[in-house]
Amino acid sequence: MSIWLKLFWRGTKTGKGLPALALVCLAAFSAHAQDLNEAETAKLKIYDETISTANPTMSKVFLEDAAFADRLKMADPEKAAALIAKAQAVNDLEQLLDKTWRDNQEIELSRALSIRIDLNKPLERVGIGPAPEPLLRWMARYKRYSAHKEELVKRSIRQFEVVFGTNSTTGKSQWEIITIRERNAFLAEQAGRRLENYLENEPRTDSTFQNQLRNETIFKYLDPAGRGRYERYLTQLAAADAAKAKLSAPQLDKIKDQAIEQQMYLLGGLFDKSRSKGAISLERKVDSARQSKPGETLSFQNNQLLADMLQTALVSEIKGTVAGDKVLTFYNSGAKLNIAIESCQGCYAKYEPSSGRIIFDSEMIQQYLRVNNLTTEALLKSKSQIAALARYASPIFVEEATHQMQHDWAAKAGIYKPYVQEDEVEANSMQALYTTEKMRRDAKFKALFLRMEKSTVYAQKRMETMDRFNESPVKFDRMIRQVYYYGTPSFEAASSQILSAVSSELERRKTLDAKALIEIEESGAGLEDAMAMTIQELTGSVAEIKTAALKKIQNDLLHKTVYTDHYDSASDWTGSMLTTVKTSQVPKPKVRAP
Amino acid sequence: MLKLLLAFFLLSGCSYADDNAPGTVAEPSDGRKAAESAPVKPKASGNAGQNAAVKHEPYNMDYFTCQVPAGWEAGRDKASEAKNKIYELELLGPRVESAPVMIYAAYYAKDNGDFKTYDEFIERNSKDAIGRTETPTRKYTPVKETALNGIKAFSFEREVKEFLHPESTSEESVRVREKIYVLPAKEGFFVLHYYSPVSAFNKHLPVFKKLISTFTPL
Repeated sequence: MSIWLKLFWRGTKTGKGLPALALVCLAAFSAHAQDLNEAETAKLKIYDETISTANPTMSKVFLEDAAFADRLKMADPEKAAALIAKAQAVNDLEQLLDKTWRDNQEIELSRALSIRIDLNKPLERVGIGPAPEPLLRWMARYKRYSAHKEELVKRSIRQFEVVFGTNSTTGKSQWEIITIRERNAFLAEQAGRRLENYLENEPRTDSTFQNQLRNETIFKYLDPAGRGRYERYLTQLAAADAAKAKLSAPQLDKIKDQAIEQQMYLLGGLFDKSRSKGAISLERKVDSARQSKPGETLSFQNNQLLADMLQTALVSEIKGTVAGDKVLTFYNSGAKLNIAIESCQGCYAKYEPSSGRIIFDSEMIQQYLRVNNLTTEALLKSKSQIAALARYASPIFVEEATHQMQHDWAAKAGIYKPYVQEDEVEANSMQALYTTEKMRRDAKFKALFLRMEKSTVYAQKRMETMDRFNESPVKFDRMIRQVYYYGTPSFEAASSQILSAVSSELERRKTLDAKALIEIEESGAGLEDAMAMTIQELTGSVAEIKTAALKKIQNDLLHKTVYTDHYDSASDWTGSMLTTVKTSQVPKPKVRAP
Repeated sequence: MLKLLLAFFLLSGCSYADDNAPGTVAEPSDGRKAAESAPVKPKASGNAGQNAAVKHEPYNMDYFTCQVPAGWEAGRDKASEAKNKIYELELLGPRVESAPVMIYAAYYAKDNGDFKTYDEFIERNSKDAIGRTETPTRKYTPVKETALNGIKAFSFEREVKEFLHPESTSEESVRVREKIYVLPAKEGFFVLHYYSPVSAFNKHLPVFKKLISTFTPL
């Protein structure tokens, strides 16, 4: 092989490189396909050529040709895995773009494309990536999308002309070599700086200013944390503007030159102990939007204490519901429940696989305290107040516990599990199923959420998730994929990315000398480390993972029905349990607390 | 690479489209026109008779036929159809402000994955999950019995505050209004569903009316 390579490199300088390369490929191709018969070899050649040009029709045909794929897996497993990865990536891209995309989903589409079109992704091996402009040529060649969708894709890939206009070409060539991810990071940084400037210096809160902010298109590039801060800023402006209308001239004078956080803090003090109905409503809005005062924040010691108390209360709260009992059965089987309270960086709660903890957002809890006029001390002294907080947090707890169950399932099955959209379909369905049952059967839960949905978006979103699930679990699945978690890959997209990276690496190792191979086996990451990696960590470090671990993960993902059967079963269960919850008496709980 | 690029932009003073204020980014000028020049171009809002300029074309599937607006983006999820036995055509129309106008036409087979009867569909879609017809984020109209092309039907509307980023703590939302017709069939039932931002609801309602007036179950 080294002679062929030398011939090729020599040939590139003399213009004869391509024929030499063809011979190299032919030799390699023939060696790999030696177990296939003549017709199968010809078929493989056609698949290989067409899929390598990202032909979506042939990719689909290949993926549906299960008999041939099985033959190829036997004859040349690496070739099979590489071709499957490419075909899945093309198929996944086509499915992604074929879907209905709304104008307000530009961010989601951009995120969805950025995880597919980047460095070392399977699509790069079929000519789409790492920069995204080839996608437009692919669409022109293979697809007939509406002018609107083409425009939306251009906006989503952050095409130079769309972002900077057609008047200037300065920087265009540099822009067109970077990925969508890098473009989004650059634009998010610019947008974040502008937002910070307003937050630190701007005293205006009137509706004209609010409209001006809403119309500044740069803010659409904010990252999720920045977007959360931007939306909170708009809420604060509206609350401050409404509250100011009730203030006297001297009171207004005190806050007129302050930036928004100082204004909210002062307004919180001015409305305390109000008695009139209108003032109480305004106070709740101000309290919901302002930062916490001393006494409403959680100290380190209080945080630890509250986390422990909340853990016990959550178990009691979810007991006796269909979804809750499923979660408790899991914890009773030996799984560890570990609740923590920290900043969640723009989310309400999350399961953290590395530490095994379920983390609740400290700001969400502090907002609950503000809206209910509670101090941390008063909360910790009252068992009933702790129970009420657990009630409030329990829907999102069921969702995050479901994520913990998913990790546990994969660990027990001994398979590598990427984090995918299907995980969120199941977790959100569990949350919605739980909320549905509690709203129907638990008067205290119902009263709390009916009250809190008037003043917190957290409660409104739990109710909306429940309503959308109840309208139709089938459509709910689509909504989760299209609206909530488009930045997360589907199982098909994730397995395609990983298979591509692993297969390429295994191919590369065939060309390494013994010394290099020994070095990888001695110092590379083992199976345990590899199994704990995220998709990005795994695909980004395949060269440093031991061969046995790579082969094990490749084998896991090639048996995709293990995963799809699990996801289908979870989806069917929540759908059927919704009928049970709505139409029949649920059996009394027989589950003990863990 | 990103830092290099950032340095390049800062040093070169690259301006944004249309020379907007620093830190602002231009909307695509030609692209916006493309979006607004989508097939539906009513001469005025809120009048079915003035929507005659919209060209329609026939659409057939195994369970129904109807006239759909030409140029609207049509989509079906056949994998989901095979599994759930809900055969649905999704039509994506023109964009108004930052939200879409959409129409769904669907046949729910007798043994579909979601509803036992059309009554159950109506019950679950004409109220929230606990039976309310008005909430801080939703408002429903009463269900009315009516007829579509001589076929018995039920209709109702709902208005929903739809959160654009439900996965995060972001509060951004848009108000949408939905109009739904349910047509009982010998086996299963049909659903015709119009979805639009409130501000554009009347403007594009004639397109939905055209579809339902030509809707024929097979």
